[in-house]
Order: sequence, then structure tokens, then C-alpha cells
Amino acid sequence: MTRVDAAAKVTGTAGYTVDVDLPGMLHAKVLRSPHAHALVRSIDVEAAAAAPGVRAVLTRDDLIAPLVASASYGYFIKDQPILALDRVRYIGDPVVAIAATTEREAVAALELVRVEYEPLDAPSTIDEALADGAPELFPEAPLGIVPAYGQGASGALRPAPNVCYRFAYETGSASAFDECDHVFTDTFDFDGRQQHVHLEPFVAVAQWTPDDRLEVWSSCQNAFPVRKELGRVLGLSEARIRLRVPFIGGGFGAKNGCKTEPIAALLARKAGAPVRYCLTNDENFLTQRQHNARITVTTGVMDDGTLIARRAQVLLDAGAYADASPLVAEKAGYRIAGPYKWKHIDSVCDAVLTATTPSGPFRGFGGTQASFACESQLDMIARRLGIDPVQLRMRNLLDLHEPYVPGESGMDSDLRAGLDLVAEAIGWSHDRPAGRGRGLAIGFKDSGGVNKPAQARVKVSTSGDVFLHCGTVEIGQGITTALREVVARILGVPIARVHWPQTDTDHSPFDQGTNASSGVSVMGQAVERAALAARSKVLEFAAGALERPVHELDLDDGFVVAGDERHPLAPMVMRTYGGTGFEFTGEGFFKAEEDHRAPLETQCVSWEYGWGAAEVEVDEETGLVTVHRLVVSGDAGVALHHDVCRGQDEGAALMGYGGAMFETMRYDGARLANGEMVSYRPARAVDVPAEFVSILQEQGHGPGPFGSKGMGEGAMLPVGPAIANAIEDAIGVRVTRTPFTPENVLAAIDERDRRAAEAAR
Amino acid sequence: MNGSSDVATAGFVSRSHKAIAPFALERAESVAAAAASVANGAVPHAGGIDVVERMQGGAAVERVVDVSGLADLRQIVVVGDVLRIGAAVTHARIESDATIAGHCPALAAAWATVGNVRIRRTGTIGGNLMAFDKDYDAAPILAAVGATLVFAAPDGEFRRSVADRVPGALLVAVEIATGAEVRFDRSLKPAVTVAVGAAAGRTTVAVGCAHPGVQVVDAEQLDDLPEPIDDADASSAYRRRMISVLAERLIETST
Amino acid sequence: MSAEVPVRLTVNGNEIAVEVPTSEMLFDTARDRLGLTGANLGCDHASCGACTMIVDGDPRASCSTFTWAAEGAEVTTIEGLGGDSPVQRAFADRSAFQCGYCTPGLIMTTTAMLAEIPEPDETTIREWISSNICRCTGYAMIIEAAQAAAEESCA
Repeated sequence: MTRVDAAAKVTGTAGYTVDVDLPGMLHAKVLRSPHAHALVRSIDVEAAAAAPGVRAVLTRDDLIAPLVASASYGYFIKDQPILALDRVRYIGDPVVAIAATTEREAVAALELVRVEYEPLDAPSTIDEALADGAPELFPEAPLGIVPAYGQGASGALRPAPNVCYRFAYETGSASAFDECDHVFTDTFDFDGRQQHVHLEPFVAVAQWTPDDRLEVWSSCQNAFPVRKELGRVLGLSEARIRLRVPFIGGGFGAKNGCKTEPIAALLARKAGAPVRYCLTNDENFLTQRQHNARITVTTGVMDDGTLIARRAQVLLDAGAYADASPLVAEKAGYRIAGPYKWKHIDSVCDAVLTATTPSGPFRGFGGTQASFACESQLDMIARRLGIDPVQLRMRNLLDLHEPYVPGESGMDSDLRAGLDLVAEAIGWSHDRPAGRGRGLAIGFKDSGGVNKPAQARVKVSTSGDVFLHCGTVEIGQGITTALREVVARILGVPIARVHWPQTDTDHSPFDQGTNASSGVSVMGQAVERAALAARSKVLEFAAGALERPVHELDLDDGFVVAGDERHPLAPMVMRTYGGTGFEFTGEGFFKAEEDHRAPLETQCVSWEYGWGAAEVEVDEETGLVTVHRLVVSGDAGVALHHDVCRGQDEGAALMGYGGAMFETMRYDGARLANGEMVSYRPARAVDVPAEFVSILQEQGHGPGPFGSKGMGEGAMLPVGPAIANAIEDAIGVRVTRTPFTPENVLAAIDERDRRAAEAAR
Repeated sequence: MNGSSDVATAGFVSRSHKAIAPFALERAESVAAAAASVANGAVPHAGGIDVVERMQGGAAVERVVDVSGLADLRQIVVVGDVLRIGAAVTHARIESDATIAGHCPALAAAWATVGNVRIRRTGTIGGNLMAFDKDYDAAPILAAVGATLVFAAPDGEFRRSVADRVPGALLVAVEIATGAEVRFDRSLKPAVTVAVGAAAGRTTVAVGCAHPGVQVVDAEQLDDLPEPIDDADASSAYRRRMISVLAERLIETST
Repeated sequence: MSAEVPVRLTVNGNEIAVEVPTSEMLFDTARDRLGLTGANLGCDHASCGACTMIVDGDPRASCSTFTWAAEGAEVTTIEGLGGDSPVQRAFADRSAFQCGYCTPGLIMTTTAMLAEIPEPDETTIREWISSNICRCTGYAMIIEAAQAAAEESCA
């Protein structure tokens, strides 16, 4: 089956926010801070305002009533100003915005702006930010909230200077460590300031309508939360804001929350004309990135490899603003135990502010960092105990349906079956070719978001055409194909007869966002219910019209089928409702129940796993690692579209591969050294391992329609640790720092040689 | 690479190509005319890969001279024992040209990994050299074979080695001894690239990425290289060590 | 300063004569003057290939190609492939796309490759499509689509 968006995308007719072109539209650009941390003494925009083509200038002086109700936005913590207020907190922090007739005029005008700064010391790493006496990026606490966590979990705002959020989770008694035969502590530097590299940059087009409503087209993953936050910041009721989301040119997490929307809206307000605020791709690097992390894991284990207790400290580098860091901290801290049986877990995760590009949601969402530490250490422990790493995992994996932790939902895949598959595919039990090593890992994350409501509406028209209304957006993941397929199957129509209008907050049912692999497992359930409700309405109507019991009727492509009889729907509808016809509407709602026995507000709807294996070779003189074979596997539960699911796994795996091997935003102090696509160098086709194998599992245990479950993140998670484990298998060297650049790997080799020399003395 | 223009101390603006200001365009009809334009401050444009990148980054360019139409700059000829490659010859042609394959196959092989397929068909040997980008590959490869660069100025031609090339004049051609041997290793980019060339009985090592400009030394004098850069791409110590490792490997396979 | 230049070129088989600023890129001429919006602007550094058009047989980054530099050239954009070319069909049939933003560029690169090398091996395909960045797919399905298009074209 062809994806429903295929024709638009292979012909170039698919419309993205970058394509929105309104009459009289102005173009916005911003002036960005040259300092990593500085007080803003003065801003002089007089010459800029008078420059040719300039229609509106925006500075901190505008971020007050009546134009603005709150100058800062954020998720849990409202700390990110629309434009710099008293200070700037990273190189690239926006300071002044200008809308002009052309982009060139906006740039020329910004070159006339004068700003006086008073530079301050800038903590650019986790260590610098946590050092005694470190300069504080926020001397005063911003507005923030902590969610109502359940059993064993807690959160705290600003528990220490430059720490914007702390998540902690504990279950069982710490005395479990006392019964362990061995306790191992290892530290991992996940140095992955990975860039999303969504090719469509952050972009919004805003205009104010004659009836004084704000209309925004945005390349954003969560239109309704952005509408709410825009309303809060601008002091507008939600009814005065309309967000529309065309096709999205990639997001991978970055396009959650306010980015370009507030500045576009305010410039449009001041200019009295539509404003397009489209970042350059270079500016994406100054807007959002993945969290790098330092993770220390202490694991208590028995001689036979039975895992008993785990203590973990996770330090996430949040960058300059909190953004989604509290949520990522929650997930990294919660997932650090991995899908294994424990008597005791005690984890703390701090989100540490540094004067660098803000970190935010990134595919894997804390799971990538946690899986790297967890799965690396399991292999290290297996080697120390002389146990096969596969056997160590098999002994300790949670069983199908076994709860992750007390009060939590159960595993919805057979983890051992997945491990068997990738172990077989990598040839685990066979001899390695000379010079090569093999490694395996299991990536793990909860899936479907927390306490996430979903609703959908399905309408069946007179002739049996179907309209699906829900707020999930097509970001490439294929959700418009998957959920139309669900509706089509339930209502007995070809998928081509199911229409899905793009997200528009004026018309779409509320949705919390296209994120957390929730499209199938959460929204899918709402869509399924809406389709079933619509089907019931049509069949109940038909039962009355045909004087047959409902259970004898079925729908088939615009016909009501009753045994051998086929009754066209349209005449039946018009006989009852008149020649204008009718629409049958079904509503569907799904949300996990609030449950305070569950650690995170509700039980997790689903769990996402990625099984991975790698075969590598290491050049011990240079540290260059060659991955000859990479195997990944995810479980779609039931694949609603095979190729879509395969593509999700492979795309996630290669993103994980890039992050594991070479992709990271490199900083010289607080200055980003490779902030554009050429020197950052995202993975290209020549980087794909010579043998790249993905195995799509359909184990059938998912909570979504027909047993489906969310995917698209899982296969990212095991790639890094599988390669690290393979490196140790090949040359006996443990690499605890990502990415596995030649220099990082050679440093680990040197460390091995140094220890060997010491031991020999 | 720099996609932004610094605005004194106020900050910086990330520019898109739309911020490039219109400029005077001259279409040169002879090398002499082009050389005169360049001497008067015009920037030569052949494939445009590098010059457009610089203009997009905010470089003030008021005059551009299009040299893509100059046949002399696209010639590949052998004169005596010298292979002469015009400055506007694309990377793709160096890789596939029969004359180069016949007289300097090692050069074609070394060139096969420059850029990507699309860049190779647009970007030129001259543009790559005259970008003065420490990470670009033409300089170390050509320096290793002891290439001579031929420039045109209003008062005539002059020649320079790769390491001594200067901006502000029109590069016309690159001259290489026929039969020159060269091997190039870029596997450790962006930390370091190394080219080892053999011509006239001498083995020469040229190093890219690791210093502000290409470094050229005799194979026996690697220790004389200046201290490499220490930056976010790689440490100085790693670079220094890898120069030796890669150079020794290339020398071994060259001889 | 003569900031505008006349340019004649052929776009998707149509002869076009335009007067453009010297700084105007082929990307913008196609989009703003000819209504050809299929190519997408990605990195804006001639690196990602989302803006690729075919110019005299070669894939070119239209974001970084001055329109005057295409004087007299034959330019093909995604719109010029007709919508049902073997390459387009292969990408559609094999779901060799996700968000679709890079897709027009990848289809143009693949089309240029097959015009020059009708039966490419996998290494050749990898090299060619490495001119483009796709952040969604992991490339394997794109490689397979290119192989399928090659087989169909040769059949």
C-alpha cells in the first residue's frame, strides 16, 4: 500500500510552513548575542528603525503590557524570554528582532543596532555550572511547577544553583545493596549534543485578522500547547488564536513548544502586516539540541549475574533555558534501570543549566542517555563476572506483562524474543572474523507520553466518504497513513476515501502534541473509538431503515451489507434526512487513568524497545572504528503499514548511529564550533554501515488499534551501547565517552595500555 | 564556514542567501581581462561553491567576474613533462579526465573523494585552492606533488607554490610533473588529512586541517612541523600523533 | 552598478527570459518568478541537497547557484519530471521518504544519476545520494528505490 502522502511528496507539491506566502508578508530576522553570559546594559535601535524597508522593531522594551502579558515562556518553568531582558545566557540568544519588506533589509537594519553588554563569567559545562561559586544564569528563581508525581517519584525546582530541576525515583530498600556479592560503580560521559537536523527550519508565519485574531502557521509538533502558551505570553484568550500546521519537514522532538511563534506574532502586531519568521538552518543549532549527560551508575549484583540494586546519578546539560529539561530529567531518571528485575532502584537526575544552546526534546527523550549507561555497564559487569552478556540479560529481563516497577504497567513486548533475534542476526554464538568484535544492547523507554489525553472525530458522509479529525500532525512518521488505515478498516472503505484535514486549532479536536511515539498507541485508541462510534451510528441508522438487527449488518465501501444484499448508503440516508444528505459523527476519547500508585501520574500506556547489535573493527593506531554490520529491531505490535514502520526503525537507528559515532555540537568553551550542516556533518548514505539490517517484529501486544504500538524512537537507543560493547569485544577497551570519534577511542586505548604497563611494573 | 555577519559588538545575524546584496557582474572574455578585473577587486566566480558561501556569510563583494567562460581555465594539457590543469576544471573532470588518467593517475585517484558527487561537478580545483580553507582537500594533495600555481596579473603571469599562494590574483592553472605520485588519507577529517607525494626522487608530506594553512615538509622532517591547532575538532596532541601515523602508512604503501 | 542582468534559460523544456538581480539564486527564480516551489531550502550552504535541480545534466544546489550562472542552460526541476517518472514512482511505491522535505532533491539527484549511469551498483548509488541529506529514513529504502527505478528504466 502506498503512503497517503506519497503523491504530494514525490512531486514536490506537499506544502510546508516555509511555503506559506501571504500578500504583503514581511520578513523577520534577529540579532543574536555575541556573549555567552552578559548583562544587557543598553539597546539602541534608532538607526535601525529608520533604515529602508523596516516595518517593525522589537526589543525588551516592547515586552510589556499591552503588547505582552508575560515576557517569558517555557514548559514547567517559564524562564525563556522572547527577547533578552536583563541578560543574555548563550551565544546566539536573541536580542532584537526586525521585520522588513525583504530579508536583506532586515539584516541590513540589524547591522545598525547598538547594544552595550557587561560580560559575565559563563559556565559552559556541567562541571563549571556546578562548581562552588559558579556564576548563576538565574540569580532569581523563575516561575515553575512540579507535577503531581505518584509512588516513589518526586521533583524539585532549583534544588541547587544552576540546577533548574531535579527528578528522583526510589523503590525498594537500599539495604538490598548489602546482600550483593559485587557492587560496581561506573561513570559515562554521554557527550551527545546532537542536533536534530530537521531540514525544514523553525518557521512561523503570523498575521492579525480584521477581527483582531492572531493566525499562525507554524512548523510545530504541538499546536494546542503552543496556542495556550502564546495566549499566556500575549495575554490573549485561546479563542483569539488560531494555529495551523501544514506538512512538517522533520522535527525529531525539536518542534515542541514556542520557538518562532511569539516573535512572528509580535512583529506582525507592531507592523500591522503578516510576518514570516524563518530561521536559517544555522540558527537551528542556536535554538535546540539534545542533552549531553554524565551518568554514574552503581549496580549491585550476585555472583551468578542476578541484578539486585541500582543507584544512579544522572546529570543532564540543559543548556541556557529549562525548556523541556524537567521532562527529560524525569524520563532519564526514571528509565535508568532498564527493562530488568530489581529489588531496589534509587535514581536522581539533575538538569544543569549551562551557557550553551538550550537542550530540549530529542527523539529518545532521555532514554538514549540512560540506555547508553545502562547497557554499557551491563556488558562491563558481564565481563567482570565472566558471564556471557546475552545470558546476563536473559537472566534479568522483565517478563512479558511484568510491571516495570511497583504501580507501573507491564512490559508489552517479549524482551527475550527480541534479544534472540538480534543475537542470531549478528551471529553472536559464532566465531568472530579476525580483528572484529560484536556487541548487543536493548534500548528502553516508556512510550505514549504521560497523562496524555487524545480525542478524535470521525464523520461518515451521505455516500460513505469518511472524514477524520484529530490534531496529530504528519511529521514524516506516516501517522496519516497509519490512522487512516485504522479508520478505513473499521468503516470498510478504501483508504483513499478517508480524508484527514491538516491540524487547525479552530477545527481539530484538542491534542497535546505529536510526540512520545504516542500517535498510534494513544491517539490511535481515540481514533479507533471514534471510528467504532461512527460505525455504530451508521449501522444503527441502517438497521432502522432496513428493519434488520444491527449485528447482521456491515459496511463496505459506501454500501450497507446484509447477508447477500448490498444497499447503497446514499439513497437510504436521503430517504430519511432529505436530499441534502447527512453526516454521522463519532467521537473518540482516550486517556490513561490518573493513578497515584504509578510513579508518573498515570501508568505508562506502552513501552518502546530497541534491540540492537553491531560488529566492529578498530584501528588501534588511530582509534578509527568501522562498523561492518549493524542490526536493529523494533516491535510495532502489529504494523499498520510495514514500510512506514521499517522506515521509522531505520531512520531512528541511523540517527543513533550518527550520534554514537561522530555527531555532536562541539564547543570551544561556550562558543559553538560547528554550528552549521557542513562541519556538523549529519550522517549521510556513505556512513551507513556496509551491512545494515532492520528486523521488524510484530509481537501483537500493543495497546493501539489491532495490537499496534508506538515506535520510531526505540531503534535509536541500543545503537551506541551495542557499538561500545562491540568495541570492547574486539579490542578489550571500554569506551565510556560518546561519540566514538577516533580521538575518544584512542584515549581509551591509551588508558588500557597505561594500565597494562602499570600492572607489568 | 561562517553563515553569519558580525555586527561590531552588538551581536550577529545569521544570514540566508537572500541577504546577499546585488553586485556588478563582469563576464570576462579573456584571461587578461579577468586578471585586470581581479586586480581591481572583483572576485572570480567559476563553479561558485566557495565564493557564494563567503558572500552568504556576509563578505562584502561589490564586483564579481565570471571566469567560467574562459576556455584557457578549463584546459587540461600536457606540455613536455608538465601536466597543466586549468583553474576552472571541476573535481569531477580531474577524477575522470583521460589526459590526467594517462599522465598522473595518482592524482585522479586522490581526487576521487573530494566533496560529494554534486559538489564535484560544480566545484573547481581553483576555487577549492583559493578558498584558503584549512579543511579543503586540494591544497594538501597538490602541495604533496609540488604543484606550481600559475597566476595572471595585469603585468603578466607569476608562479607560486601551494603553500605560498596569495589571494587577490587570478589563478589560471595548476602545473604538476607528469607521473607524479600522490596518496591522500582523509579518514580522520576534520582532525587531520595527510597527503604523501613522490616526485623527482623526493617524498613530500603535506598536512591539511591541522594548521591554519597547509603544511609541507620532507618525509624525514615530520618533527619540524609546527604545533597543530588545539580546538573542538581535535586536540593538538592527537593531530600531531596522527600526522605521523597516517604519513608513515602512506609512505609505506607509496614505496 | 548594473545590479540586474538578463538571463535566458530553459526550464522544464520552456524557454525563459528574465531580468534578475545579480544576487538572485536559481532557487528563488524558480520559486518566485516561475511558481516552481517543489525544491526546498534546507541548509543554505550547498550541502544538504534539498534544493537540488538538474542543470545541463548535473545535479546542482539551486540555493547557491546564481541564476545568471545558468545562462543558456537546460534546467529541470521536480515539476519537470511529470509526476510519474520511474524515479518518482519508485520513491512512492517503496515509501522511500518520510517528512518529504528532502525528497524532491533526492529524486533529482537519483534522476541525474540514472541518466548518466543507467545500471549503478550499490556503491555508486550510495555515493550519489550522499550528495543529499535525509534525516528521516536511514537511506536504505532510498537506495532500494534507486535500484528499483534503475531496473524499471532498463527494462
